[in-house]
Amino acid sequence: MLHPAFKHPVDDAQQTFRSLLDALAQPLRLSALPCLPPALPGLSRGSAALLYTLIDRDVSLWLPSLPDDTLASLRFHTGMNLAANPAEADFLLLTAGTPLPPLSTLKAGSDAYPDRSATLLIEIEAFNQDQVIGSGPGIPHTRRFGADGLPGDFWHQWQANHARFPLGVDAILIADDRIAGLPRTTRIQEG
Amino acid sequence: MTERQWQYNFGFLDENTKRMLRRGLLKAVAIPGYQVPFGSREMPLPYGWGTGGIQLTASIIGKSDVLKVIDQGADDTTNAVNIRRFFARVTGVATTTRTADATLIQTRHRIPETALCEGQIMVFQVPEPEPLRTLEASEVETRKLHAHQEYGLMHVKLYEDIARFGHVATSYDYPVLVNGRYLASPSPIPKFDNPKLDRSPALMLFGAGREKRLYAIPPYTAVESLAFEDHPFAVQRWPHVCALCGSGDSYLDEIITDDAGHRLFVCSDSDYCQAQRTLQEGMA
Repeated sequence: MLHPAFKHPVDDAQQTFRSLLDALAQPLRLSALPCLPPALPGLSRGSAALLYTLIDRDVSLWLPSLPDDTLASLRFHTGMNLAANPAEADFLLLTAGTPLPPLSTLKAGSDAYPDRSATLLIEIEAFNQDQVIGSGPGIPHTRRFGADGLPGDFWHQWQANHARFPLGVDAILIADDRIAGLPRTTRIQEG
Repeated sequence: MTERQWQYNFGFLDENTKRMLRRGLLKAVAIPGYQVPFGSREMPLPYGWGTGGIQLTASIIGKSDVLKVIDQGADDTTNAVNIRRFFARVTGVATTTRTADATLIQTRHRIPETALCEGQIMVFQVPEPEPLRTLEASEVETRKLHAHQEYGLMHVKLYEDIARFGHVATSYDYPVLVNGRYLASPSPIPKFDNPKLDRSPALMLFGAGREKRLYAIPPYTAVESLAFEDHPFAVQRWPHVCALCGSGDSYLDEIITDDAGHRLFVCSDSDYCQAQRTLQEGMA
């Protein structure tokens, strides 16, 4: 059975993109997703919105194991190419509870083309403000941030990812209808 | 108000092209100042008329946006009028000439005098995105120079200015270092506008249609104009004030008024000039 996607594909994708652009331009600040499609089995509404906005046949996507009807719907609505393993993917969706592949093994771009790198879409449980302090482009001074449901050593791995700049991966954290951007430029201090 | 033409997709571009541009923009924001290649499409106007800026605007604009378009600061010149009308036709969005009312400002070669605020997006039309291009013709080589952060060539160019003229004579398209890492072209804005890029609360996006490159400067990002310790960066100053509004701190255009060499100087930013005059009338 196929599930429906955005009600208004053109407008909803545009508004979701602006929320994404805001999230990456102002890292660690929460952005609301204004248009949510119905949830797919195994996938939050926010994740579905991001996939419909970003994915088409030109990029490869890595997905954890998901119900068949979810995969069929995503394939129908986006024309996605599934990546065989995380290291080859342009986009990775990590649903709640999916183990995080080591960030250093993902596509990080090359010296001449650092943009040819992976973007992680990570579902978390909720945002809070008490894990880390972020700074960098898009953050006026510093910004307090936290996310329940991230793997234990995520922030440690992120510091290594930041240190590789301009190489590295970028991440979007998703808690239902709200997202936060984490570009490779964001410097993280734990505590 | 121009009616939306429903024969076109919203924003003129097809959805696949918009997605490609959007993915590129997200990477551009994540790597400030780095030039992301994109598949530039044929637009209903020639390269060199702002096709890069138009494609970026088309990929981000939405129904609730208010669009302002300027050409050398003015809202009423050919390029600005045509691009504004184009977007009114293919999106139906509201347009404005007031900087403070706009959510999206597409610009050719100026940054408005009115301070930008958080949430606003500037889209620059860029003829040549590669600041090193006049010094190194090969894209393969300039990519390597950026990869190694090897910007000595540009310093030599600025030094040659000092050796010949006693000061850095580059007055527009003055190279900047973004976030302490990538050398970028601010597009041919006068260097007068360069300080407005530094830690601006607005998001700055740059599109070059012919060269098929886009790049970005996120809000609150350090943007440093290249300089030397003994020749610090400085913007131009003039003895003139605007002949219309009397402003002494805006960027001025020189207007020749007759064949006898008479001329006057007026604000390049038409919206700013108008606002200043309205303010003065209110006080008088």
